[in-house]
Amino acid sequence: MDPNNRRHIIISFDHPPPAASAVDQKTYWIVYEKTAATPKTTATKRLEVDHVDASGLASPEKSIDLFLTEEIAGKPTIKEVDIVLANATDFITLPALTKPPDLGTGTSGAKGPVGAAKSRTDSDIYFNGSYAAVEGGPPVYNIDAFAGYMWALQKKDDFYGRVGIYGQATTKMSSTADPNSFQIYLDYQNVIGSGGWWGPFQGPIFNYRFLGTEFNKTANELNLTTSPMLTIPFRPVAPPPYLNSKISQWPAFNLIMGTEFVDVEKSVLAPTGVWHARGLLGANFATGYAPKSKGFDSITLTSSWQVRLPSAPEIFYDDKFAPITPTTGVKNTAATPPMLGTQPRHYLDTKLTYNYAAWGGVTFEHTYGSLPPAFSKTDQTFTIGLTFSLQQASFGRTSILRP
Amino acid sequence: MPTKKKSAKLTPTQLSQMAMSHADLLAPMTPPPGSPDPFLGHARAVVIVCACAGTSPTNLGRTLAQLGVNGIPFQKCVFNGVAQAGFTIDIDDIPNATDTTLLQVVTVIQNAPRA
Repeated sequence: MDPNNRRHIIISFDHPPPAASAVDQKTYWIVYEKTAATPKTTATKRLEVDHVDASGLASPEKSIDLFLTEEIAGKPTIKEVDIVLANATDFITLPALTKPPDLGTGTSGAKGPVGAAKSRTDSDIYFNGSYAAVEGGPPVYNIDAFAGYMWALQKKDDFYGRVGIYGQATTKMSSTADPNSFQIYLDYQNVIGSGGWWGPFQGPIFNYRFLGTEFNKTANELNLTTSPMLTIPFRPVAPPPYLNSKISQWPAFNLIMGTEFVDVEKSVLAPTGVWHARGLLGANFATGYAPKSKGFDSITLTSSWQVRLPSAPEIFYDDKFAPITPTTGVKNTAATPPMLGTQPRHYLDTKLTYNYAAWGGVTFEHTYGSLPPAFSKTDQTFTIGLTFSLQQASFGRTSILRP
Repeated sequence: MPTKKKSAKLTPTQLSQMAMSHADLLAPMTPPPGSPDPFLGHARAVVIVCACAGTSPTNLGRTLAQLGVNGIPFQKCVFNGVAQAGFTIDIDDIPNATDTTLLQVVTVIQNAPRA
C-alpha cells in the first residue's frame, strides 16, 4: 500500500515474474477492504481497479501497480485488505494485508515479544542440549543456552545505542574437572558510523559489557568483568542479482576483538582481588542451504573461534595432568588439578545443523578448548543432539554472542 | 588485420574511486522544502534498503541471512537513511532478524511520516 496515495497498491513478485499478459488487466484483480463499521461489526466492500501498470515487471524490482477508483480507508477504521488474482488460468489469493505497515497506517509490526527463530544466529532465547555415549566412561551431556533482551535508547531522530542484560551458560558434563561456564552481563551496544558498507565490511558494532560476572557450576571460580568489544561484519563476496532462494545463509563472518578486564573475586588457586586484562580475538562464520522440502528444511554450518590472551596467570584445568587411578590404570579426570598460566586460551565450536523443520533439527558439533572462568580444557569432542529455538521479535540481540 | 585492443581490467582501487558513497547515494533523497509527500514512500524505501543491504532490487524478496547481511548495522543504516530523507521512524520498528526479507523492511519504512 502506498501511504502517499491510498488508491495505489504495489505488488512485488519473486523471480521469475509472471508474464505481463497474466496480470495487466484490471478485470484480473479483485480487491476487498474490511473496515470497522462499529466497534463490534465489520463491513466488507469491494474496491474497483481503475487500471494496472505492469511496466514495473521490466524493472529489477519486478512489481506492478494497481490503481483503484477510490481510496482505501485509513486509520482507525481499516482492518484488512484482501486481494485476489483471477486470470484465464490462475486463481491466486494473496496473503491478507492486516498489519499497520501492510495497510499503510503505521510502521509498528505489532508482533509479540518473542517469535519462532530459525537458527541460533537469530535467536535471543536459545537452548541446545546434546548427549554422547562414551565407551568405558560416563556419558557426556552438553547444554548451550543464552537469554537476554536489548532496549533501544532513542529520542526522536537521535539514536544512542542499546542497553540490555544477557546470560549465557555452557555446561559440559564431561569427565574433566569442572568445565562449566556461566556469564551474566549488562551490555551497551551501538554501531560506529552510519551502519553502511565499506567495501565488504559493514559498519563495526561496539559493545561494552560494562558489568558482568563469570562463574562455574560450583561457584568456586568467580570473576567480575568489564569489557569493550568491537565486532566487524565481513561479507567476502556480495551475492549475485536474482540470488537463488535455496541459499539460506550467504557466507558471512563476524570478526571480533576486544579486551576483558577481570577481577578475580574467588578462586581455588589464582590470586584474588587483583585486576588484570585478557586480550580477546575471534571470528564466527555461518553459511547454509535450505531446499525447504518435506523432511529436509535446511542444513546450516556455523563455526566460531575465540582466543583469550591473559596478561596475568589464570587458572586452567587440563586433563593430561590428571592422576592415574592405581587400581585401574585409567586417568581420573575428575581429579584433574588446577594450574596457573598465561598461555593463550582457545575455544573452537563448529556446528552442522540439519533441520527437518524450520523449528527443530539435529546438530552435529565439534568443540575444542576452554572458556572462562575455570578454563577447563575440552579435548576434541564430537556430539550429536536436538535443537529447539525461539527469538526476540524486536531483534535486539547483542552481536558478541556466538552464531 | 588489426586485432581489437583488449580493455584493461579495473583495479580494486579504481573501482573504489568510481563507487558512490552511501551518503552521496542518499543525498538526493532529501525532499525539497514543501515536498507534498507526508510519508517516505515506496521508491525511497527501496533505495535505502537496497543500499543498506549492499544489493540490488532484484533481491528484495531475499532475507538478510540469504544476503549475508548483519542485522545490527543494517538497522542503523536504514534508520539513518530514513532520517536523512527527512522522515522519522522508531528504530525498533525496523525489522532486522535474519529471516526478515528486504521487502518486509521496505513495507515498514515506506510508512515513516515526515519528521
